[in-house]
Order: sequence, then C-alpha cells, then structure tokens
Amino acid sequence: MWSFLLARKQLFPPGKFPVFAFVSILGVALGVTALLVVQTVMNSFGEEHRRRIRDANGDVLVLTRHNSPVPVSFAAALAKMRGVLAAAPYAEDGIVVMGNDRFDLNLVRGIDPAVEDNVTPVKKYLATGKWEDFDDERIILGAGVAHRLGVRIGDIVTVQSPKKILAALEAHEDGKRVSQPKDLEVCGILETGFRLADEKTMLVTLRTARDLFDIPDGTAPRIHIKLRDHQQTEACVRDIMGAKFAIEQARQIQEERGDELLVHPWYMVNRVFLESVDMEKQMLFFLMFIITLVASFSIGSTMFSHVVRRTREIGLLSALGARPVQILRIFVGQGLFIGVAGYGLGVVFALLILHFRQEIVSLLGAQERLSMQYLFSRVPLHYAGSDFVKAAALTIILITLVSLFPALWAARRKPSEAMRDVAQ
Amino acid sequence: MSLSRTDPKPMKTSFAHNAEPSPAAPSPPQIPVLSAVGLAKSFRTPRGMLPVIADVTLSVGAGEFASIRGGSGAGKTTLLQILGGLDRPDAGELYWGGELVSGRGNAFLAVRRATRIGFVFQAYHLVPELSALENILLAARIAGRDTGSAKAEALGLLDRVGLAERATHLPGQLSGGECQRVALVRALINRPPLILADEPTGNLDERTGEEIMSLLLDLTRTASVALVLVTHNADFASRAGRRFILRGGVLTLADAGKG
Repeated sequence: MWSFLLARKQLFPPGKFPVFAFVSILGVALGVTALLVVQTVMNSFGEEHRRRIRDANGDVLVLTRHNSPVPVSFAAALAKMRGVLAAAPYAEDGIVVMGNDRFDLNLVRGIDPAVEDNVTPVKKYLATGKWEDFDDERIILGAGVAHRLGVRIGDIVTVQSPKKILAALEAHEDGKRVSQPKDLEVCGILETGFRLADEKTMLVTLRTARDLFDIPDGTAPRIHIKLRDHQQTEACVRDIMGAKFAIEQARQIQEERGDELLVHPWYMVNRVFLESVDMEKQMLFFLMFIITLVASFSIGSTMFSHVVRRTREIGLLSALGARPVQILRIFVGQGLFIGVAGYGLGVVFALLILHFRQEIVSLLGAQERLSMQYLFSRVPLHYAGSDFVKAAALTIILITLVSLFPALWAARRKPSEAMRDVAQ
Repeated sequence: MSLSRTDPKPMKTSFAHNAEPSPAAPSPPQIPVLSAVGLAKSFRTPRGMLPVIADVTLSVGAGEFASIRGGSGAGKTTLLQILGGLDRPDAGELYWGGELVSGRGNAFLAVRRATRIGFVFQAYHLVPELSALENILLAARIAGRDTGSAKAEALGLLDRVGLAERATHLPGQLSGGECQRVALVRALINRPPLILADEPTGNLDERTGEEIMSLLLDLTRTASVALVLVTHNADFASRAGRRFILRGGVLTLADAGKG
C-alpha cells in the first residue's frame, strides 16, 4: 500500500538520520518504561504482600469472634474438604518475653509442628536452627525479636501471658499460689525478608500455647487452611459455610459459648492494608496516565509540526489523485508505527531496569529505606501480563489518537491551499 | 471552440489513446478532455470580495495544446487549480472528458484526477525521500496501477528523457532540470488525456528551460495528450495551438496561433 510505503520513507528517509522518528519513538518508549516500571514495581509489592499474608495465615482462616476454642477434630474435617491441601489449628495471643534482661511484648503463635508446615512454610524461612528440635520446651523467634532480646540458638527466654501476670499479681496480694513463667530454649531463628514478620514472630507449640493461655486440651481458637489453588479461596469459603459439619460446629459454639464461627478468606484478614496497596497502585497508574497523556500531546505537537512541514507533499499527493482517507492513512500509520515501536522499545527498557532493580536500588542508596519503609530486604518482582496489555493499549491508542488530529487536518486541507504552498 | 493540435506528426507510442482516426474512417464526435463553462472565483479580503476569475469558458480537445499567459496575480494558477479540481469555482461548470465534476466531493475528484490529469509544477515537487523512479511510481500507485507494468513503463520514459542511469537517485542528487524531467514523466505515467503545467520552466535557466519545454511538447505530442500551459514566457506560449491571455480575470483568445 503506497500510503504505508510513503509513511515509512518519511519516518526513515534514506541516507539521513531519522530525527523525527528517533525523538518520537524514544519519547513514547520513555513514557512506556516509566509506566511499566512503576506498575510492575507496585504490582510486585502488592503481590509480595499478598503472598506473605498467605504464607503467614494460609488461604482461609476459621476463627471465632471472641476467641472461643474449637475442637482440633474440626480442623481434621476441614482438611478433608474438596480443594483443601491442609488445615492446621493454632492459637495466637499477646505474650511478654524476657531474655538477657530485656523485655519484649509480642504476639506468639502456638502451632502444631506436625501439620503447620503444610499450611505456612515455616521450615522455608528457618534461617538458623533445626525444625526437628522444635518441641514443647523450645521457641522459634523472628530475627528481629532475637536481635532485640540479644539471644541466639540455645539461649533461654522466659515467657508469660499478660493475663497470667495480672492474675499472679492479684494472687500474690491474696497470698495464693501463682502461676510461674515458662522458660523456653531458642531453637530457631526465622528470616522471612519481611521486616514486619521478622520483628514480630514467635512460635511455640500448640501444647505450650494451651498452657500459657489456658486453652482446653484438644482445642484451638483458630484454624488456617491451605488450598490447592488460592484463586479458589472464595469458592472454598462458600463450601465451608455450606458444609453440614461446619454449620453444626457453628451452632454448637453459639449454644455453648454464645460465640460466632467466622470463615475469612486471606484477603479479608488484611483487607484495609491490601486495599491501600491496591489504591496506591491505582493512584500511581492514574498519575502515570496523566504523564503519558502529557507526553502524548507533546508527541502530537511534534507530529503536527511534522505534518505542517509536509504541506507541500500533501498538496502534491492531492494533485496526484490521493484521496483524503489515503492522506489520513499516511500520518495515522506513522502515529501507529511510533506507538508500536515506542511501546516495544519501552518494554525492552523496562525489562532491563527491572532486571537490574536491586543494583539500581543499591546505587541510589535506598536499600535501607526499602527495608525500613517497605519491609523488604530485596525489591520483589512479579510481572503481570495485564500491566503490559494496559500499557500497550493506553500507549498505542493515545499516540494513534494524537496523530489522528494532525492527520485529519492534513486530509481535510483544501488541495488548493496546499497547492498554494506548493506554488510558493 | 475545439481546435486540433498544431503539430501534424503525432508518433505512435505505448500511449495508445487519442490516436488519430484513419482519414478514411468517419470521425466520431470528439468529447473535449476539458470543458469549462462560465467559471468564476472570488477571494474574500478585508476590503470585500476580490474577483479573480470571471466567466471563463474554455474547451480543450484531445491532444490539443493551449497556453495561458497573464501578469502576476492575474489568477493563472487559480484558474489552473480550478481546471484541475484542486479548487472549487464559485460559479460555472467543469467537465472532464464530458463528465460534470464541479460540485463533486474531494474523494471523487481525487480518483478522477489520478487518471485524467497530470500536473507539472514550477518547483517540480518531488517527494525528497523517494528516488526518481519511486516518485514516478507513486503517481502510478495512487492511481491503483499494477506496479510491475508501471515500473517498466517508467523506466522506458526515464530512458526517453535521458535519466535511465539516475532512476535510483534521490531528488537531492539531481539537478533542477533533471528533477523537472522526472516530474514530466510522473505527470505522464498514468497516461492522462490532459496535462496542466504551471510555469514548468520558471525555476530553470534559459537553456534548461528550453530543453524541458521541448521534452514536454515532445512527450505530450507523442502521447497525444492535451496540454494546458500557464507561462510568462511569450516564446513558449506562442508554440501553442491556442493562446489565451488572462487579464482582470477574463480569459481571451490571443490569436489563432500556429496551424
């Protein structure tokens, strides 16, 4: 088609450096690079947060509104449901921990070592110590907690629940026997790379937790579930809510303790946080969209100058018999080419930047801030096809649209006006 | 008002149209390639409407050569643009090959113009990014012609104008005279029945201008193509079968011309 041939020749004139094409394509490429890098980084942060929330809590959480214990057998029944990979009972509550004369108030999780790793990958994050050593007399600490207390593997820490400390104070005043704090040996240090988790995590066995929090034997206040496919979380929640044994369990808890059985998908557990992450990504997309829009108008302006410089040729083409739509096709074709080539180059730039993201962060001296503010030791990377599709659609449509205006101007130009320019 | 071509010896070439009928055969009524009736055009100025063309009536037959002279600002280019469908008259009717084209849309005019009219401009107006051959083929492609046959024809015509060796050269690598020769071939490549030439020698020195004029006349004569030439040059104008003068927007026949 002659209009595309002419469009190509105008963009890449033989024997000359294609300044217009180079500047326009580079402009689009830089916009696409910024858009894709920001979107991918935000997407990566969000995805990493989501993955770690799932790692920490499983895909589905079953609990009661007022922390009433449910039988462990209920967890076994849940584990047999369709789509469920594993279900593990656990307890979680606040605890005072002391080591090396330093105190810390934190949440401790009591887990069943036999099944826990099937739901949350504790073993994977165990940086020091052996999982096999973990028993009722031992504790696993997050790296941040261990650092604050100044303890290492083999050291002893003392733990007690705040409730029991208050009870002990009252009992002491009344001259009654008081519950003694429990000494536990540190047998493992966890490093997840997620500062919030490393600063807070303490793991004891479910039996130890029952002692600390006076939970009846054979029960646990919470059950978390790992699914074969986390995309099926909603379906699984519906299945549990509709399962006879779960309905029976809920009725029993209601009657015996006046409590309510709850089934939460993982994203409900940290809903506000996840919404804020999503909102941040959307806001950044909106800001990048505006930046891309401004860049597009700048390219549109360059395109307009390019078309105006071609007025003589437009007149000539009219004189040779080119229809307005064919003239339109030349300049829209150029816009389309600039959009597609700019997008392609932008993807290459973005992939390069994302590949060397860690080096760039180090070069900028932002490693510490990344760890402190975003709680990551490394910049996570999760590509989302939808980000690339959105960027492609946005870029190509915008650039083609902005090239449409000068193209329409050219196509609607009265041949005689262009001819007068020709005749100059 | 139709007059025959002044040159009595049209040559047979690949341009088969407009071949002269056999003297023995009865002549069918000739439809003029260009016919204008009562054309008028004014331009809006701050001081009101300025009439540029007033009641121009003109008919050009197949293979005919007509010249239009006039002072600067007489409206020669405007008239040529109206005749070529690049501008619209305020009044009057324009026919190409007997078909009424005034009042038709731009797309319609463009499609008709591609095959019926060839333009030659003072400043050549070749696309700078295209080689000589590509510039010629551009016109053929716009007219929807098969590129293969058009290329062979273009190379033949380039050979005729002495530019066979420069077919792949860009306009920037050609002299003014060579550029205009390429423009001549471009105007003829679609075998239009009419060429509208606006000061084709205006940018050239006297000797090169003479060469170009001779080539233009030779090529149009050989192909039996009608030619309307707008020029300042009295000598070139005098070679036309009919010579017009445009003065005050009014077109008048200068004299009977040669032959």
